[in-house]
Amino acid sequence: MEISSSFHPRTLAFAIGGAGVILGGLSGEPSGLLAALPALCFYAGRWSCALSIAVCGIAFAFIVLPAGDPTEPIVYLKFAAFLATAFAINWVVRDYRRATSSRLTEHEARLIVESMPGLGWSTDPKGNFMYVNPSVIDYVGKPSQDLDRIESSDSFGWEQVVHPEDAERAAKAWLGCLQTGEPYEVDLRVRRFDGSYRWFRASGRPSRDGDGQVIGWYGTTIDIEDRKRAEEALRRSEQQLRTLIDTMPALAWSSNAAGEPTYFSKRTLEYVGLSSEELFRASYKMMHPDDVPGFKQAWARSIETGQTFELTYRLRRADGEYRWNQGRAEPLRDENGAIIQWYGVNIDADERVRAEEALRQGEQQLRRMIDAIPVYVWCATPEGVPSYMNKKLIQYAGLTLGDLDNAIQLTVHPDDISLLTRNLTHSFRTGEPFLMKYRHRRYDDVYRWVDGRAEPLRDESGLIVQWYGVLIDIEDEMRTQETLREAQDKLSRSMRAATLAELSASIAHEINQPLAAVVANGHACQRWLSAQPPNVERARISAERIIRDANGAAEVISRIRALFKQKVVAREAVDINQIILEVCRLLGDRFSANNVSVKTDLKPGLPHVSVDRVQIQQVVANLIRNGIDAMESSIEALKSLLIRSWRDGTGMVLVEVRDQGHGLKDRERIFEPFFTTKEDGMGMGLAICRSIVEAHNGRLWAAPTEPTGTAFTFALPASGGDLR
Amino acid sequence: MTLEDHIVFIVDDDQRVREALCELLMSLGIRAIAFASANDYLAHPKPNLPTCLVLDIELPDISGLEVQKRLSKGQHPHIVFITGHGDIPSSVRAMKGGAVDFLTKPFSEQELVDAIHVAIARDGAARRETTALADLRQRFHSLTPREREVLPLVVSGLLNKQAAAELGISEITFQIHRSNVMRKMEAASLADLVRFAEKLQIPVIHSRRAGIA
Repeated sequence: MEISSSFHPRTLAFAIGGAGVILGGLSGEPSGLLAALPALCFYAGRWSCALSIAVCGIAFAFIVLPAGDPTEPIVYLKFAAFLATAFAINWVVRDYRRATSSRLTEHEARLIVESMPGLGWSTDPKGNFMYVNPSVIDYVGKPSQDLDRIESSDSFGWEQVVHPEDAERAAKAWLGCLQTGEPYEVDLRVRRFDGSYRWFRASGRPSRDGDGQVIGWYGTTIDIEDRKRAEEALRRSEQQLRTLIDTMPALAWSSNAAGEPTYFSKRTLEYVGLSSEELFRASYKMMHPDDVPGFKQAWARSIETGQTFELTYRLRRADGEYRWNQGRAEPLRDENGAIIQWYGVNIDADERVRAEEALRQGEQQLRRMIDAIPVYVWCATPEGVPSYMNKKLIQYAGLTLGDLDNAIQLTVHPDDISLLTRNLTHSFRTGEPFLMKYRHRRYDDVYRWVDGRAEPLRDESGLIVQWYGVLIDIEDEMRTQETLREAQDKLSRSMRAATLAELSASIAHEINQPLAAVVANGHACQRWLSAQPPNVERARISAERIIRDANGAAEVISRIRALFKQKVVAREAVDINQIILEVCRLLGDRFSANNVSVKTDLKPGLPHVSVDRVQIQQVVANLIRNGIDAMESSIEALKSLLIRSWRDGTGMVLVEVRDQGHGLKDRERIFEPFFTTKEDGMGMGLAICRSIVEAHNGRLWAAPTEPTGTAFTFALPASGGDLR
Repeated sequence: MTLEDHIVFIVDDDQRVREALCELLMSLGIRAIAFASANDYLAHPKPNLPTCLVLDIELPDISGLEVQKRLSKGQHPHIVFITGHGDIPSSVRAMKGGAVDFLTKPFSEQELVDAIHVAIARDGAARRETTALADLRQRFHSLTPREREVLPLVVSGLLNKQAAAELGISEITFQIHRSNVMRKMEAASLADLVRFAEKLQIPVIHSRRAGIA
């Protein structure tokens, strides 16, 4: 404790010295002075000076004084008195000094300790609290004596207020410090009066006396809860950051300003299969040997200029495979702009690089293809300035790349240039596709017809990016077309002839049938009349039949004429159901011959239709005959024909003939003339039917039915809904 | 020709034609039955009389040519085809198939009647032939096994002696067998027997010359 040695000694020494001088002067004895001087020096802290004065005083007393009157006993007495005085003063002063210094210390320490933040305390050398500041009492809520060392043991009372996990450690450290006298410093949780724990840092230092003996301990216990928490948070966030870096799908690393690596993330190390030490020694080990020079160069440039480092290079993965990585590093700068550290990441870009490579190859291939395909391709800017011609076009036109700008003037036939230019200009201005056939000069100066087309490529906003055009040599095609047209003309002429022949055969059949009957009946009639006696009755029957059949033949003729004229003659308003029933009666034996059962579902009270009765009869008969034929090879039980009639909402009367045959393959072609599915059919029936129905402003169509078969339906307009 | 000794079948899908032909044939004293389809005709029982079939090419169920093809497998009447529009391929097919005639409508009475007569005559002959052969077969079946062995030897022209030796019997026995054969086969002479054997397609296994050689 040096606190007292700065001011008081001088005053004290001055007082003692003064006292000595006065004493010597009063007694007329210089020995008082002798006692005063060493004391003065001693109190000034000058041991040597005090010693020398003491030696001088003794020598003076023994040498000078005896010279006066050596035998006089008073001298010895004075000397003894001097020594005794000196010792007495020395002892008094020492004791006084100890007392004052201790009192001062305690007083000042208390002041200091009480004004100190935190919990201040002092103990005796054994660890018993001599003093605790009020905040301790306030905090723990216990009197200081409860905190003392428990008598004759190594435990302390304060252990009760320390967190159980920390108590033993803190006590052990404290005991160690008490024994050795080393400063004490321990972090521990202390229980507050309300039972909650907070982190404190307890630090204590020994107080020693002049002999170096520990006379007590002084210490503070400072609340470090907030710091602890901050530290914890920091540690956690650091942990998080590290986890982040290690789990990030990127290889992170850092280097110092000189470019030497300082850190590699765990993932990086796993990726390359090398340890940090190996990488610190030689980070190039993880790169493809071919990429090392490039890396070194780029890295050196970045280090030098401080610009972002960016390079795609190959890293060798732990399994030995080289994979493309995109490396990128940014510098961290201090406030002066000096680079402190570089932080970098590598991202595995193998797929991307390879895809790009494939894309580039694909592009090359495409270009090669464009040059190789037998089509002439050109491109132009949105303004129409030619920008590209493929090899084929250049070869075809016998141009060089330098002719690109005036290709049109060089290659297009002079007669076509003006129109072509106009068309192209129009397209370039409006963005409409260009399309034109014109004559184009070939390398051998022969003009050939080409089909030129061009379309614009637009971006998302619709702006034209590029014009793409093709030329196709159609010279041969043009010639072929000419020939084809001639051939087609010939063909259609012969087709007409063939059609006529077929048609006449069909007509002949239709007419020959009644004619044969007429002839046979004629002969029969003749026979009956020439018999003896003549059989007039039979002859009359025959003659009647002749008339009937001849009329039938005539009717066929007029029908055919009507068909060819596309004219409907002798229309009358009829009930369509009546026609259907008539036809069914007429075809009665046909049904039974084919074992076909007929069902009719005729809507009563249908509006009349204005038709040529015979023609419509023919249509119905034809459809029914077709239906019977269609079921020719059907299973007997299924041979049934359904005829329905009804009216729809649009004022049409409909008739449907539904068979259960095999159905149709081609539902439209059957209506073409001479198209037949029957072995011996003429292919005229449905064509005639359709033309009849259409001549009546109606429609005829076919549709498949379930499960098998076909429904032929025709619709005729009702004649004003005049119900009879 | 009377109504009873022959019959004409008519198959035509056109009722008018059927009526007219029946009327005409009736006026000529020819018995006729008409059918609207081939199946109707096929189903109809056939009398054992000289028959003619007047067949339309275009029939609703089975075509005339197809009917001819089917009939050709068995005993059938001679066919006269009639058609509304005759084409060369079908007429060739019809004639190749053994048709008597191929008439295109309208045809004259004479053409039809001539063709029908020819057909009936041919059918009558064929029927007679068939009947005679059946009779002959009947007679042949009445022979004993030994007599059936004797017959080929006789018609081969072997001498009795040679034939007897061939069978390992006496000449007398052979002569008895031979006279039995002649009687049972109702052959008036050896020439008759030879003709019968030919009809019956009995093979001549031994010729006299071969025997001598």
